[in-house]
Amino acid sequence: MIELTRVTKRYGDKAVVDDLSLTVARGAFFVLVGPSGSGKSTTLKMINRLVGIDAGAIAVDGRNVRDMPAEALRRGMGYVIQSIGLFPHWTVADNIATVPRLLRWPEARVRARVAELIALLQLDAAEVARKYPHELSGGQQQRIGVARALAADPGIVLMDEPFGALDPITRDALQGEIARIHAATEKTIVFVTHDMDEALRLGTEIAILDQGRLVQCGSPADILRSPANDFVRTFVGGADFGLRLLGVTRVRDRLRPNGALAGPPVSPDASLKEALSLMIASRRDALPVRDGAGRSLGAVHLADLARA
Amino acid sequence: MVSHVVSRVVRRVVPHVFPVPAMPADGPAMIRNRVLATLVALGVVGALAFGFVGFAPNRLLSGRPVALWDAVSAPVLWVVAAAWLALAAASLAPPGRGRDRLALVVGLGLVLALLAGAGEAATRLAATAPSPSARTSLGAGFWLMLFAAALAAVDALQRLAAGMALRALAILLVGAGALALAASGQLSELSLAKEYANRREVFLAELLRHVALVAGAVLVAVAVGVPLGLAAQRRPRTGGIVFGALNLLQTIPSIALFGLLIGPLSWLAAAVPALQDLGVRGIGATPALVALVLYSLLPVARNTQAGLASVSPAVVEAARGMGLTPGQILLGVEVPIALPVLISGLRIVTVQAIGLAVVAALIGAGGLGTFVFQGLGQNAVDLVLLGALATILLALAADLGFQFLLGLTRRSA
Ligand SMILES: Nc1ncnc2c1ncn2[C@@H]1O[C@H](COP(=O)(O)OP(=O)(O)OP(=O)(O)O)[C@@H](O)[C@H]1O
Ligand SMILES: [Mg+2]
Repeated sequence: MIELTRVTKRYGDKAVVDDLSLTVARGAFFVLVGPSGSGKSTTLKMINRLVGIDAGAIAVDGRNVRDMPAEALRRGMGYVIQSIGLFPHWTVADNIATVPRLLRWPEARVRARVAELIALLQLDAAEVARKYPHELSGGQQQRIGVARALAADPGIVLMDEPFGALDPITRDALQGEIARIHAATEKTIVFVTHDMDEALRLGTEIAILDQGRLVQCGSPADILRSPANDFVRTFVGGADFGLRLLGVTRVRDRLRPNGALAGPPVSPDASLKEALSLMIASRRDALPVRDGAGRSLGAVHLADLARA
Repeated sequence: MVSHVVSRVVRRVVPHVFPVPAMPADGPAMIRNRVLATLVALGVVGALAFGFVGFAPNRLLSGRPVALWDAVSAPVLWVVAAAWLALAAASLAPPGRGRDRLALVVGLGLVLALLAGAGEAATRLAATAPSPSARTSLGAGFWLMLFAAALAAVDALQRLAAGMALRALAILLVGAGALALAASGQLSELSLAKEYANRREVFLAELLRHVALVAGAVLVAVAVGVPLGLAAQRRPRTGGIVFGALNLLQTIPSIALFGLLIGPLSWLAAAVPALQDLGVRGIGATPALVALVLYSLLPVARNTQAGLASVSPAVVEAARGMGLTPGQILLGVEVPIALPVLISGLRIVTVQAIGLAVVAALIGAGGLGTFVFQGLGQNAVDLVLLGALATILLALAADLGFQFLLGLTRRSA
């Protein structure tokens, strides 16, 4: 668990993080969003002490980070920076092995772990491990950056716009992978982005920052359904607002228990957005809902989607 | 001043000798390799229009030129002529590795043949000479042909996109061939060899002194310049002051700097006798070392700063974020990434110091410059040449060594 209590950071006279209090629960996928310059990166870097704080306190698992040696604190947290920052003079394998080696793992264990991560991030092992970062594509480099942060199996991973400069397809694939890793390992992830759709897709909890202050914090559905003020409304709104709302609501919340329908079945855990897409693609205004075992649970109707 | 010219030539030219830019291969329909054709023309002019060697009754008089065909025996003449013909043919041949390999082998062979020929000419002329003090020196024709043949080989290496290994092999082969010729006595009648023979022990001692002076200066410059460069990179304001001062030093002409140091150092030695026991004096090795270090500081500090600045801030932030200590970041991340730029700086500094150290002989520091200045004093051109040639070869060797090191760091980076 990470707790920020009334944290302030000033550069000159300007408070770039202003009286910020946040609680990141263990196992959360906590997303910090906000416009450029709102203090997201600064907040992330205060957690691993790359940036010092001027007031307030930050505690990790109940211990004030100031009471821990900075290097030890950082070795216990994964860190992915936006510009990737792979070491250009080391091979991919050596890059991934950075923290395990700092922690003096036995070499055999290091090598096994590197192989495991290369498989986890679906990088073909034999081909990639011995290459240097400049020989890789941007997407591969991003994956290595993530693998390097996960290498020593830290309980907490800090990620600063890790999929910033990627094409939509690679970005989508990497978002899927990180969601899968989070679900499988129950790590606590603090994730910075300024892309609202990325935040809604990945986050279990979203904090919206503006000019160094916390504007709203809650689950994706909370934020979409009851935005705290006009800033949040414009930030989460726009032309796609309705679709985003559909994206955070499950089919099981709009289930009608009526009889068997024809057409492609949809899972109760799918989002209403996926259901809508399927209705339009199959030219129907209702779809059968079936669970993983194929049992019929009812139907979802187009008319219900617009209901509050 | 000849010494100054020599040191300048060594400083300026040597680093550029190896990477001769390959010229575009297109040209008049017949001539496929213009560079080689030009070199052949140069060689032929050298052979026809200039003396191959000069012959003088003694070492102080300037000699009369002796043409190639009068100087060497028929077999040597044929070998040299055939070599130029082969190179001419290669310049007309369509591009291809075979053509370039031929040019390489012939160019290297010709260098050795010219050396052997000059040695033979000296032996033949000595046999006809009335007195044993007669001297045979290397003529303009020899130098032109040697230059053209060596460049033909370099051009071929360039066209073959030769790696470090092939380049080193070519240089080793020529070096070994030249040594073998010298050891066999083939060259011993040349005036250059006689000057060397007269000073064999002194030569080795002065060569070692030269190397020691340069190595000492470079080591001290690294010990001082690398931290200066580091400070300049960490604090830009410090950097402005450091580079301002070092730039100023760099603009002082070398002879003036050597002279300027005599006063303060003499005073220092007189004021602190303990320093005197360490060998600190107004003249000799101390001011030479100080001057060489002062000239070397700017390139070392500048390249250290540039190398460290070339490390992306993202890489340093990632390293910090992963829990590397500041020492681990400097030694494990920043220095290795900066190393190629650092080594390039050392390469410049070493080659420059080898040339500058020639001038240091003026203030009694010894080294290869001793021969240059003795030769100038005695009007003995071959003695000047002995010092200058040794300096150039030393600089080439150092340059090659650093290129090799650079190749190693590039491969691992
Ligand atoms: N080292 C620094 N010195 C002075 N000002 C800084 C420094 N680092 C950040 N700032 C300022 O603090 C503010 C917040 O910066 P921060 O990097 O946290 O923003 P961000 O929310 O991550 O923005 P972005 O989305 O553009 O990355 C900005 O106005 C920035 O200019
Ligand atoms: Mg940022």
